[in-house]
Amino acid sequence: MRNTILPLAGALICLAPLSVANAQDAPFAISANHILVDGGEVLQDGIVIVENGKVKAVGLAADLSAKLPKGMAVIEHDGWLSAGLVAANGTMGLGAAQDDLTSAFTENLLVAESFNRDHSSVTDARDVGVTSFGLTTGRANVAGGLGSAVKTQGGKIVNLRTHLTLCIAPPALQGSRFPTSYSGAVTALNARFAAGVGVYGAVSRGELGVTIAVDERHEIDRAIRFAKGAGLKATLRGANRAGEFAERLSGVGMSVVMAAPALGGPKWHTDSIKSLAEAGVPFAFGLADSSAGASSLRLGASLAVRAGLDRATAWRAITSTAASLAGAGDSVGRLGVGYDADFALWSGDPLSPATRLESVYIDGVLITEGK
Amino acid sequence: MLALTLSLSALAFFPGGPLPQDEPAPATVKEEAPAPTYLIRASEVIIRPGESIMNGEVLVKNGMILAVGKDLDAPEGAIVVEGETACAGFIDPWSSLGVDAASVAELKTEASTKTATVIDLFNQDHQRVAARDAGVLLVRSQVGKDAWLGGLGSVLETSPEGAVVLDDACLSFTCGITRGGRRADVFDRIGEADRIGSTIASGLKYREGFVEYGYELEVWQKEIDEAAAKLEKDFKKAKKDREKEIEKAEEKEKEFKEERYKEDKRPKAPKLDADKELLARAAHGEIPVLVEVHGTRELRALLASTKDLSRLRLIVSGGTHALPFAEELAARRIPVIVQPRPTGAPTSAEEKGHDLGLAGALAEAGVQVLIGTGGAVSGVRDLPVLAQLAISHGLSEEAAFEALTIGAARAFDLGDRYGTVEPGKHAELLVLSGSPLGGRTTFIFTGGALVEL
Repeated sequence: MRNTILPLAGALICLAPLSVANAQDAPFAISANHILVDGGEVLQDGIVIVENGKVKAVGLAADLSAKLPKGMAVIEHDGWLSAGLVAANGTMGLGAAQDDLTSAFTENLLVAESFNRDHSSVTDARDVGVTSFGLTTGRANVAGGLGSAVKTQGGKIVNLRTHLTLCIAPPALQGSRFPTSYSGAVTALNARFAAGVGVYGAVSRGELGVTIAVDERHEIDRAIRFAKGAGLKATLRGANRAGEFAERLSGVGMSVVMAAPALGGPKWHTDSIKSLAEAGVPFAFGLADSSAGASSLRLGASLAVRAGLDRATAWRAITSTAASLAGAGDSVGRLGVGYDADFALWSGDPLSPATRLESVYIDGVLITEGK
Repeated sequence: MLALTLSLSALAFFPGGPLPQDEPAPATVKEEAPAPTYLIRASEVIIRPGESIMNGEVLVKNGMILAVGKDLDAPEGAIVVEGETACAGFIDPWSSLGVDAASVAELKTEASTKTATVIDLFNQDHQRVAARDAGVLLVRSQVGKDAWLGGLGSVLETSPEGAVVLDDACLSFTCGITRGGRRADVFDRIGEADRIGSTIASGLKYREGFVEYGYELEVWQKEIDEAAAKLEKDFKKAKKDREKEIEKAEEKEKEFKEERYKEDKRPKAPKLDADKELLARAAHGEIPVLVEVHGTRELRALLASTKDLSRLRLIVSGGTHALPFAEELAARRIPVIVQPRPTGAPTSAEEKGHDLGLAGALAEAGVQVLIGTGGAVSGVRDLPVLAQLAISHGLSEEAAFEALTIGAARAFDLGDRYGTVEPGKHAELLVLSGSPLGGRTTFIFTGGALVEL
């Protein structure tokens, strides 16, 4: 642990992480050699001031140090500081009971009701730097329910109702219940959106987001046609090949949440990501449709950079864009004034696989040391 | 250098026969373009781990490194290649690149099964290119990846036109791993480890048999020579005696019967056995033995069963639970090929407990650490990323770089040809923007060719 706490104008006091707890109720600051802000910009010798669990200020130490209240604790970090990572989606904390299988349409189901904040999958995500994620249902239903944005510590719900989860793919089209075909699913969804009742009306009016889970090319094509026909600014979920449809997605204002590139993964995956970036389609990495652990987010972003994606877009895909697509873009995913003080301290550049997570803060509280 | 070559198109006019002497030779004579000389200029030329030349130069021709230093005298017309960093290309010691899936999955391989015989230069082109472009220029590929005895591994170039540079890189075993979705019970897994030692030891007996045969043959030959000398000495008397016997036989009108000398029995040569011969080579340290093994019990049994094979050069791959044996591994100079993977990534049953800190901890304990991609074809390009993951959990950058270059080259007896940037070595080189492991390759020298990315 390379963090130390310094009273602003006092002598050096080396403190173990536990000692930091005293400072967390009171305003405090963290200085770091490098602060990675949204957009990939790096502040050399920067400082973040935290008050009441929110970011009060971010800037160069040279500019802010003089304005710090006398006696404010300053934690010095010999490394990098960034916003906590955000998974645009995930089923962590849901265990095996992700979907209610009694009907293909469980649109009013609130997935947060099934959330187990103490599940190991949640703490595992937190321990690799993920501070928030978009909690979503599985893919077993055509209309699976309402997702939430949650934190990986304490079960805090950032946004209770973020999006309606749809699935127009085989996982939702099985069994003896209606529908069992693509056409059946699209017909049923069209009827519901046309009626505009309940959550479908809320989605149509833009009061609620909507994601459509798909995998294959023809499913992506069908989902785009469906969303366009229904007038929805939908987010495709899964859809690792979405880049092949980048221009169409851009044209109808859709976005994509996909699994992050993996070690040994296909080249078309990173090509797809680069195509989305070139077309200006908002995209982020999620965990709901990947067997890889939460560490795949940061590693995937660095693999995308190795494959030629620009750093800023890669970084946003696991922070600010991910937060926006998870329905929590106003409060997490950035080191911005007024945003939640969720951040991670790293040994080096977080977009390098050689970098190790050293600590995680959520709402201004030191939560864990990294693994 | 100028070379004169006979055009092949001219030969096509006269297949199989000499050229008519009264006609002018239609063969065209052309001058072959001289091989280009390349001068690499880099802000840092990494000669070997821990040794660099700042603002250095490397002279390359015909796929070989001619000179390394500062302000080299490059011949006129040399092609200058500039970059931030120049270093040796990476080597993946644990791969199956270039081998078809069926051969990789084969479980009935034997010691003499040669990976080199199934290398397909025309297969997996895109994977080879991806590996090459990531800086991984050599791989050790293996048939029978999961077989108990996988046979002879090969080292080959990853470039699409790449060649096999070593067809007997190592003798490969696995021990206690999941095969076909099943994992044997613990007794069978320990039994596999025990059998590795005894099987290799059988190679010792095989070679002893040949040594014994050679000795017996020598003794026999000596006796024969002595008998021949004696016969030579008594030849005249023996000839007269024979003539008398022939006369007597004729007088009695009987058939003359030659006296037959009973020849000493020639020692019988041992039966040639290609598998045993390879086991003998392994037992005598002529080729390394590479064993994929993960569990504590299997590792303990493996180390015990090979303890008395004093010349054996063992390499452990995987080694998920190798840390408790670090002291012995270091003392016996047994390198460990680790496969760093992200925290939380799915693992097989034998790899449960995988720790990204393994590489760093082993290196700290004095064990030679190598890094491999675990045998999957598509993962070879990620070798530098795996090295970075190991760095994130305690392996020093220098040790990681060594693992990917000279460390891997030495493990397969290629240290005199690859792995460092020195005159006389093959020019399997990278030019990068940034650091060797985290930077982006901009130029690659491999197989005598220059690739610009």
